[in-house]
Amino acid sequence: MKSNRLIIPILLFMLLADCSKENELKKSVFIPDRESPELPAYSEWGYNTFGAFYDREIFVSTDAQVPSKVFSSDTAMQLILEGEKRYDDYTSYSEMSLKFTLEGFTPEQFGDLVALNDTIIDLKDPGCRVQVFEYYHEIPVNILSGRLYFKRVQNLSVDKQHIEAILSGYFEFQAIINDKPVTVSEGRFDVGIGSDNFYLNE
Amino acid sequence: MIKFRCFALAFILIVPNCNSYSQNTRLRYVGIESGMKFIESEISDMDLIRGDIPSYSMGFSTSSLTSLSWAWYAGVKSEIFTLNDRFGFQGGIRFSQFNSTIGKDEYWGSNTNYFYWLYRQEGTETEFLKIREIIQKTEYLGIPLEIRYFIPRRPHTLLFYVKLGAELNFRVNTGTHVVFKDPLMEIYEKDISDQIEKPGAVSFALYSGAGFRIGTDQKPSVSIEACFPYIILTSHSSGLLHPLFGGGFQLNFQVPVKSKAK
Repeated sequence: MKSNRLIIPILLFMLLADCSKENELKKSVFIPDRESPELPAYSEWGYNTFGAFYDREIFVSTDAQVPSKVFSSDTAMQLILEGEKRYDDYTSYSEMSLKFTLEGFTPEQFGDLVALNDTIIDLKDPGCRVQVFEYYHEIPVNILSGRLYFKRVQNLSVDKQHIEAILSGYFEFQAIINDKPVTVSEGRFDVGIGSDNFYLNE
Repeated sequence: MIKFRCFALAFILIVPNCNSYSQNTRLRYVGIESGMKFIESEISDMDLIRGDIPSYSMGFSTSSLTSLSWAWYAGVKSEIFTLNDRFGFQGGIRFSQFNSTIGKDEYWGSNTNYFYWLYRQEGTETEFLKIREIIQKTEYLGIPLEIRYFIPRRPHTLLFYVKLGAELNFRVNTGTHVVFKDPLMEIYEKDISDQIEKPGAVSFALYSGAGFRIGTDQKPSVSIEACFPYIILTSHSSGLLHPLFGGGFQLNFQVPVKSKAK
């Protein structure tokens, strides 16, 4: 009888341990850029990181937040990059997110994102919208110029099972943000979009 | 009195030499050897492994790849001594098997016991395989050349010595074994093996060591020695792991085959 009592906790522990192991691809792997070590190096492995200079501050992904989400509706797709803006000396930071809305692109599943492979999007284009949020409050943005480049989008299989789509590329723009001219430069992202961070509004 | 002193001095100087002359012979031995080497290494090519995973040689790590490189060998050697018995020159033929392993293990429940290997990348399709361990075994046939310098002169039951050696190895065979997380993926073992660099056809190493020989003079003897450092000079073509330096031990069993009086 005692052994039966032990079986359930043991099975529960094994199940939880196994679940945590399947999350390995969701973790962020920050490999510093050689020239700008505050930013992640550009990669195409689905390391779930992004970073850019926000004038002289740094907008970068963190371990605490899910760095990327894709929201698809019947009219547009939104790519959300969520992290923090901080000074180089790490003395202060604020939660910040960047949202790119692409009108007319409506993926129904994360595998459809490969259509963006090797695609450059002019952020000044009327079909594109950029939003900046700090502490979840939207800040008015007027894009002056810029681009979002999906250099490589891959469908990733692990042990022959389709797991996620990896979006890798660059972004940069100049804008009037909160009535101030701001340059976002050297932006790069390498994020995995799977069933847990792909949202479809049917 | 002066004559006596001269005689005594001559006696002291000559008698021991006469004694050693009577025992000095050019010794020759043949024997068998066996030993092991452990080599500090780093992973040659991380381009196909996902993540910024540092590797530790022969280490204990919860989040990193562990690499291990070691070798065993066995062979036959002959040895010829110089006339003053101080130096022994050895040469022979040696079979070696080098084992290189990289893997990831879970020492705590929250870690994974596998790493991701980039198996295929074509256009927009990319495939990873979960791998627990990669083992590469390479067999060599080689020629060892060694010089031993004996610190005390024979005859002694216990003779200490230091050694310098070199070995030239020719690769005979290389095999790679992959341990997958999912056993169903074993069908891709050959593909993974083909992706992994194979060692070069020839390798050359230098080493030094020290040890002692036990045995009655001109009778079968056993030598036990420690080798350090062991340095592979052709490490650029070393396969799965890039060896840095190493050390090990060697056992020799020798029998005298021929003795010539001076």
